[in-house]
Amino acid sequence: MSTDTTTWNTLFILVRRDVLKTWRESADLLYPIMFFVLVTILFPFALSPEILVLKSFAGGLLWIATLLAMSISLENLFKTDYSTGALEVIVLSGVPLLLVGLAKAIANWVLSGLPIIILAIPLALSLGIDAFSLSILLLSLTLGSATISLIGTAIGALSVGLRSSGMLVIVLALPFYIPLLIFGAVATSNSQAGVIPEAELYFLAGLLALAVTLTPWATASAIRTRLS
Amino acid sequence: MRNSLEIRNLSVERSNREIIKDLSLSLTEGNLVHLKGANGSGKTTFLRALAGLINPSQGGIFWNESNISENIFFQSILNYVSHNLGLADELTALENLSFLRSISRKTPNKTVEASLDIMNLKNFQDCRIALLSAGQKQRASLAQLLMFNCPLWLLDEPFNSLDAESCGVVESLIDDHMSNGGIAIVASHQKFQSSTAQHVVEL
Repeated sequence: MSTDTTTWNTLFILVRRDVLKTWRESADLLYPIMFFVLVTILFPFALSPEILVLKSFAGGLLWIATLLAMSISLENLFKTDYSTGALEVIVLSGVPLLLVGLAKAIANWVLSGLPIIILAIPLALSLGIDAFSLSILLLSLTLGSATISLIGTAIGALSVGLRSSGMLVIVLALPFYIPLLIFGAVATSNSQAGVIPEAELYFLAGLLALAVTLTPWATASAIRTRLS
Repeated sequence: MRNSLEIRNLSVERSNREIIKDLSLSLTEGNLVHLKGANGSGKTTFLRALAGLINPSQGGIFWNESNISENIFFQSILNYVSHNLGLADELTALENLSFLRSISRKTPNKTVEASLDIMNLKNFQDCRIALLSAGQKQRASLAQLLMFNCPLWLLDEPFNSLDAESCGVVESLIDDHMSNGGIAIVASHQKFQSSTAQHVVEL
């Protein structure tokens, strides 16, 4: 088996384990998704039931709900693996920690980012978003949520072993999410005005490329430091 | 060349407190160390330093004359079973160990199923770890020792929660390892039987 195949295979095994673990701990899976749905549903009650008003806020609203919901999911990324000693066993297995960090981020995206993107379709339509703007919203959420998972994983790794780390992770992560929020929401509102938001989408794609390149190193380094 | 583990003037600090102070030890194939000490005396810290998880504040640890901090392959010759067990509660014993075997860079030995069978867990291999008793969890964790062919074993309280029969199984595993030219350091509060002469180190 070539080294490349082994690396992809190891990454797949690491992702599958995390997905299976979280899938069986259904509360960890459901809280972020329920939060996303509830925030989006409650918003019209507080603002206005008028579809024109809701439509103008829809992009920003869905982006804020995504950011906060995905931030909730970050708290438990490393928590149980640290408390059971499983993280230590993984480190001592000799598997590159870069892969561990990348796998955690991919699993986090599959379990919280992907369901949120899928649920955003009916919620965005109920807020009056048209088909073209919906496609831009989904594209921006896909690029943005993957970046959120990658950055969040690195920051989650920094809090390994700390008690009550949940709020700390959110506070540390949110400043990094602000550019995503701005460009994601602007991309959707521009598309609602009939403009193709190429620049915003390129920027989000650029941030994702940067996050894929840098955050696994940061996660690996944080895991090593926090375990020692 | 015979495998050797040399600990030279090792000191380890945790939170500005010196836990291990100037400890030296030289071990070769077939050497078994029984690590003793009161709670909080630093047994786990010492084992974690030997596993390369903690950097020493002074001194060094050498495997076959090579400093472990510079040896990226050191973890592949090491079997470390911590008192935390290292198994995910949400997964079954079989899933936990299969995962570990498939990602590990260590030389494989027995299959996961055979390892669990030797540890008398065949009938419980599909039970989630969270549903197993403390002794069964301990045995599932110790099954790692059979899955890999590692010359160095670091065992942190391996007899915790085990009944007399299971203790006997673990003791015979240690004996087999020693007779095959392995090196083992066992931190344990309780005495254990071994046909190999034990070096006792009190922390």
